[in-house]
Amino acid sequence: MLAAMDDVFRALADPTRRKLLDVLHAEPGATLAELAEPLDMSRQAVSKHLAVLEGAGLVACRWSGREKHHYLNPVPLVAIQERWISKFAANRARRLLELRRALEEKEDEA
Amino acid sequence: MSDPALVFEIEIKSSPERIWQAITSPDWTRRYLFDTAVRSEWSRGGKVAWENADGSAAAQGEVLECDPPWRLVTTWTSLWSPDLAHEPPSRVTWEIEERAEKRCLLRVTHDRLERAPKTRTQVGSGWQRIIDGLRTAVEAA
Repeated sequence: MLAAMDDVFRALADPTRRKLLDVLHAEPGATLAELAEPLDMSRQAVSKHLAVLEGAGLVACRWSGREKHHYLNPVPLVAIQERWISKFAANRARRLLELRRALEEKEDEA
Repeated sequence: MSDPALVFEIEIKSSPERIWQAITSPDWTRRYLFDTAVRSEWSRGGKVAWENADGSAAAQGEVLECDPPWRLVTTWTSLWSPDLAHEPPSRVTWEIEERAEKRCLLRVTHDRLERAPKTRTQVGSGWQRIIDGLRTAVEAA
């Protein structure tokens, strides 16, 4: 569910929870066990972080049989973007990010 | 095992009936779904198409389940590029849950994308815009 923006920022303030979102971005539908393994954390600890992310609306879940699958729900992040960044500014910001990435890759090669 | 589904959830301050209407009527979809008009009899096994202004279809599918105003399931084939049109049909599920009076959760799940990787890559940001646009349109009404 989509909660207040406070909940979204609070959820994102923790590096472990951001890492969980990274894993879900790469592995949509991951189960609790699949999330706990690469993070080298107990299932209980991961479960607590997931509850915070779910409460903020950043993670959506689906059941298939007894398996609970987790997905990154991007809608609250889009809402943040819509609030402060107009479409025009978003394009310019994206180009700057691409420029930085290109420059940093060059640096790596050098 | 990972399932490359896309799941979007959004809370909308409106009734299930109004949200259902926004999903299933062409006058509504034109406002938020890339200017397309949805066309269907909404009977199981029937066709559904999202039509551009020139009458061509941007996407099409078959109605798998239709339970107004709670649940709509269709297959999905993107037609805006030949690359996508050649991929096997995927599936889109619209679910509406009433959380309180005039407050609903809309969940859109696009799955069966295992054999449609190009579709998955292209529709992700599109769904975000559609769903945010749907909420804006419904809440403004």
